[in-house]
Amino acid sequence: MTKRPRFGLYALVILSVVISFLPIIWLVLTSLKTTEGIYAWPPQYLPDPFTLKNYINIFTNSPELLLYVLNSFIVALGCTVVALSFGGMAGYALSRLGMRRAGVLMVFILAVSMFPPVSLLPSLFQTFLNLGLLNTYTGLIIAHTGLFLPFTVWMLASYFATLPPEIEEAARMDGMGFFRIFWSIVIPLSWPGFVATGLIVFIFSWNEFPLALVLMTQNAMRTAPVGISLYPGEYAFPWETISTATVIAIVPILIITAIFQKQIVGGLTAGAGK
Amino acid sequence: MTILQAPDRRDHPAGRSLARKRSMTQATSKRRGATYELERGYRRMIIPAILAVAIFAIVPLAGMLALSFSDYHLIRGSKGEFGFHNFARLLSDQRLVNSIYVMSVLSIFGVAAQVVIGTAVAVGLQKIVGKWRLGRVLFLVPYAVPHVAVALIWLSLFTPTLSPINAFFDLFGFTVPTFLTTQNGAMFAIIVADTWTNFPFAMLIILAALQGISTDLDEAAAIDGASRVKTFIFITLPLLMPALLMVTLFRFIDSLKHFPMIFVITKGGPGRSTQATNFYAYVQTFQNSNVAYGAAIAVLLFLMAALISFYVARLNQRVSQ
Repeated sequence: MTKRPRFGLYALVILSVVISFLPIIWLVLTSLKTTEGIYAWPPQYLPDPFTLKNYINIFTNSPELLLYVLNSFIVALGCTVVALSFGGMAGYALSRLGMRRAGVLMVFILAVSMFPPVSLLPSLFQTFLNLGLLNTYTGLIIAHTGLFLPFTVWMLASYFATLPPEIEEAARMDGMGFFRIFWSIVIPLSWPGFVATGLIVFIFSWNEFPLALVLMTQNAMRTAPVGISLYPGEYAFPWETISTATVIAIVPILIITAIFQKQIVGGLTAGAGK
Repeated sequence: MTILQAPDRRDHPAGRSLARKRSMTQATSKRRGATYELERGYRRMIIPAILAVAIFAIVPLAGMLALSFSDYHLIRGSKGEFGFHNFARLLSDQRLVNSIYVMSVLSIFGVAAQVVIGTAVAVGLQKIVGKWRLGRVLFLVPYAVPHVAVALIWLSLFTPTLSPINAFFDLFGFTVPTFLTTQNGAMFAIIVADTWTNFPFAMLIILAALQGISTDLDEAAAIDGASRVKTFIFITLPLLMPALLMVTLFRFIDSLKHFPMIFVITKGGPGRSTQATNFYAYVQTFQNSNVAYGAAIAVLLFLMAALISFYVARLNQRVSQ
């Protein structure tokens, strides 16, 4: 095979990496500028003077931002735990029964992932109002669990399908009960699948917007994405606050992504490689 | 995405062995009973998931249908009228027509851009770096950033007085048009932001599919003197077709859920020109407090999504056969 240099491909890949990162770098640089620096024309490419004032200001002037981040964390963690427990059980059943015998309700669970969550908003809001679930962690955790459960079920089911069934059969011969097999054999063997799925669900839940916007109407209960989306006013655009708050809201997600990139890539592409 | 890989009884060893046990004519009735017992155990494990989905989806779905026939208003309450008036209003609603137009433009152009760019980058990565992991990981960053943050970043980049892009073109004497003041420009801005954050998904799936394709054919074609472009078009692309099709359809379903980008970048404007259908449902429900009419729009949106999903499932089936 000929080995001509592939300048075109190199250029393409490098360009796409640059375009992927520049906006984020620009965001971080903006958060390190003074207000004058942000509105200067031509724009400052590097902060001059460099300042951490925006970060200090945001923590002293709008302490609710930390609350938003905390709310996001509680909801995302709760959603991940519930989705993994329910989704793990359902996914196990699906992988052992197969689509046809798992039944009509299973099909319905999976179909939920197909339709736009916004189409549920009017009646979901009404239902949660009646049940007293608006502005509660429980409410948003239930909503996010419902939203991301189909994904969890599919992903874990495809993971369970790779476990050799002989192990379970042997355990059954030894008289182990159904749930004990699941709890002390299947789960320990498939923890990488749980880690990958859990991470992706955590990120999905952290980033989710429309449901968090509508189901958490009190300022103190807002999640980070909703909180930062409300900083731009009708006419004002306090970009120093927005850029700083945005950096703070995405840092936890970027750290998780960086640490667990292998599992996340593996999870996202699980369906395509086979 | 993982829906692509429905774990089916037939290709699963446990399912296969269960099926075999079932069909064995000489199996004792005791054994058949054990299998049945096992199946019931599996079924019981689905119950919690069903309950969660019931609260989240089944109850609100029923509620949505009921609301769409009512005249419920968040502030005025209800006069108890019940009928097709909301759907009659839908038929003559110019804003609804515009919303469907906006949704179609955003979905079609956005998904096309994501799939084309994602494929190009995947091919580039595959050829020059092979299995180099960092290459894939770098693109996870834009994908993992919350859509609200993506929207805020691009809002600033499309604001002429703030944008380094405008300043850059100013240096060469070009004036970048102000995108957010026209309908087409605003839709373009949304598509750019959406493509920026979502092309890595297409890229990751296509790259995974590329790595599953044997390079033998490529090499054979090269020996026969085929150019790279021809090799790609006539050999690689057909082999990629199932993955491409699935990425396209899944991105398409997902793009009907466009919300944060519109909410932050254009707020539906200028005027009401970029209110895609789901944003329009939100506006009617929560800004105009007209819950009943919002629900009627939601029913329509649901039906459109269901129709598309149905075709996705059918196509998926045909491709995987």
